[in-house]
Amino acid sequence: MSFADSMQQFIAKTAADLHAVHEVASDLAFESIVEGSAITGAPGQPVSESRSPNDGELRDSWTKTAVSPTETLIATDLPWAPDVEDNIHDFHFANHGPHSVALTRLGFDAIVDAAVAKVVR
Amino acid sequence: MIDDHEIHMALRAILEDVPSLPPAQDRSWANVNFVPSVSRPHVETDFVPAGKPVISVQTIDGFVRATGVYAVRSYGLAGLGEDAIRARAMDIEAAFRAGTTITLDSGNRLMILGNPAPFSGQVIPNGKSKSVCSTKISYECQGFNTAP
Repeated sequence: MSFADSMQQFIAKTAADLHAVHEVASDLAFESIVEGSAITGAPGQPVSESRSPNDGELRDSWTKTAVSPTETLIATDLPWAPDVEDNIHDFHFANHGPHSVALTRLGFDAIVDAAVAKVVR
Repeated sequence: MIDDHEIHMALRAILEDVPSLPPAQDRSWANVNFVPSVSRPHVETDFVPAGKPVISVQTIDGFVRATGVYAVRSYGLAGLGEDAIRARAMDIEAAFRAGTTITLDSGNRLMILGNPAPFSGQVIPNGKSKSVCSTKISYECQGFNTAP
């Protein structure tokens, strides 16, 4: 195998690893915001205990969309989602809680570390 | 060790020094009964620790890095424009400028992070005669995993 072939192999593996790290990191960030995460300390989205059909509406509204090979959009279209994220009604939630996006953003380096560890394992 | 309460009180002390903060009766602190006035601005806070992993190879007596978010909500009267509410939020941001470092009584070092840096969001109505702007401050505290 020539040096050029070795370089091509290295480039291909690096690109594949980058894609895999991005996929895993996106999944971990989404899980952190929606379900909560021990990596970031985020509590995840509160779910009402009223047993009404709207239970879980906020949790289920979050979507993950691939924008480009290295960019993923995690979003919700519920107009009251920021109320919960910022806890503007000063609730004491029975499960999960506010500030999950902020904690996920704060812990993103740890998410990437966890993704790299999973990909290279 | 790193005491979250010590971090919380240090952050609160910075906040209480903001000149435009409402008077004491209009400040809501954690685990204190509080009924906000319908006719006066008020502030609320959430102290949210995110974890404190040991980041050195050595665990006992090793190096610990605690992080978290201090959220400050600045409420003003609804329908009177954003100026007063946002001005107070900007004063709060200025008090927690990224890179601000404090040595706590324990000797641990508390720092306001620059990534993510403190930021204030949109002014939004809370549906109860007030509108609110939330300021989020990310911090880290470094110390040793020693017995208290």
